[in-house]
Amino acid sequence: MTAPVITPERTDEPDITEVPDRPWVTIVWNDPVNLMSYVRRVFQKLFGYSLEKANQLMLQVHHEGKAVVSNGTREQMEADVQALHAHGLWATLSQDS
Amino acid sequence: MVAAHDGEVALALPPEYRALVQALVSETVELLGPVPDDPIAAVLDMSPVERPDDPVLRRLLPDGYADDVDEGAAASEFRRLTDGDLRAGKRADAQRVLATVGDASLSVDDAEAWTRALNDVRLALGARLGLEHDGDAEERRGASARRGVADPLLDVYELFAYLQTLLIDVLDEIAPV
Repeated sequence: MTAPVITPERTDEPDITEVPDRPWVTIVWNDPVNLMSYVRRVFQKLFGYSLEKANQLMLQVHHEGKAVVSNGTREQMEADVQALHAHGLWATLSQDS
Repeated sequence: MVAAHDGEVALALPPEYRALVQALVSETVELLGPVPDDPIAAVLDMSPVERPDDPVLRRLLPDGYADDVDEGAAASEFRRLTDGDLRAGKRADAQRVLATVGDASLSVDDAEAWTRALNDVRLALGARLGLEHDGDAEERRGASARRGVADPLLDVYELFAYLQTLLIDVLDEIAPV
């Protein structure tokens, strides 16, 4: 695991609390501990993604520092983040920008 | 050490590895704190749950929102609602490992719990080792090798990565998702 990491910068996100219509997204952030095979399997299991899609999202997290892994209502995204935390992944939800 | 067998995961850990799994997974249980005396009262309790100061615990129980959403109120409310369940789930995974660590084979469900519990141990060790970026573990390994000194914490971290990888490989084989 040698790709550069983008540490989550939480300060430059737009103020997203004012606009109610935009959908919410679940973001998974890169970390140096989680194994690639584990992250891929968690994406398959929690979201029902194909091996290819789960792999592609895992690689996006790894190379770009983060990836949007699901979107929907705020309540759905809170459930997704909670499930990802239960699996030890580093995830947050926010309103799509 | 870990292999597919009749739809289950055959486990043959050397005693010293078993002892390490037992010790470190027990440590996770301790880190997570005691089970609430009254779970219903805990759910109904409206008082905020503080973000842990300890970096190890903070990695196991991360924020669900960035700090700037509702000036931190969203993260705080999310934590209040989910902290109990998150701790309970991690505790349950750990207990499942402790209950089966001496077994010759694991069901698929048990093996899945093992992958999560081993991952929690690795997250805790990673925080203790100060691993922040990809490549930090490898860099630390190189540095200790050059100096010719032992790095037992890193040894354990790598052993758990190895065990977790073996389990995931077997699960991919016998229980593809």
